Amino acid sequence: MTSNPYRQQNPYKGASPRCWIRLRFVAADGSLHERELVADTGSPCAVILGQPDLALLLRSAAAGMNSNFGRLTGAWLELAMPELGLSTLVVGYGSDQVLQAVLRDSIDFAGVAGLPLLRMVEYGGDFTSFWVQEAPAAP
Amino acid sequence: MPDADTEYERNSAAYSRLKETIARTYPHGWFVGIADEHIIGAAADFRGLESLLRTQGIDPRRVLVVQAGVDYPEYVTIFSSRRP
Repeated sequence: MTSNPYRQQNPYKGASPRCWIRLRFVAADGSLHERELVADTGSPCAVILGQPDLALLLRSAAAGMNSNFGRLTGAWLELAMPELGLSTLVVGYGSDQVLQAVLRDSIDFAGVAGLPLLRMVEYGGDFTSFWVQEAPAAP
Repeated sequence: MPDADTEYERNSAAYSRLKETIARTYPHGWFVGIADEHIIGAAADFRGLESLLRTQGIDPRRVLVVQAGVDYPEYVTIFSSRRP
């Protein structure tokens, strides 16, 4: 008998309904912090947060880059989502301009989770909600 | 002591200068730390480098960490988020 994998299922949310995921990060002092991020396959960055969150959660600085939203500050961030198979370090970015863009949809949103992160899980959606679950093991 | 933004920009500029040296010196994918515009340590994985820095009394949060031989883009377009 096989058990169904954990699935995080989130009803679309926001002034213009957006799909989103909840991610848990480990700060350098070991504290855990959950954030709701717009799930956006159009973003080539794994994670983009506001600058205050990036400063709170960074484990080390990482290379930054420019974008159509201005300068993105880089940081190594640790994810703690074992239920989704995401217990890993990723390069994330800080941008208050991106944060302002997602806040216009909902004050709950703290940033954007982009394609490099979404590729690490299985994701999908229907008329009412968006879901993510652990990706099956590679063949 | 420089503020965090100035330190970050100085270490980012140092990385641009050191990028090819890092790629030649360390195995592909190794984690390399840059602080005060110099390479201060390297390890095969992030946690190894983090431990190394701590044993040297260095706060990893003030270190720019890059992976040897990895090309980081200089510009990206974020397509579907709306600009404020």
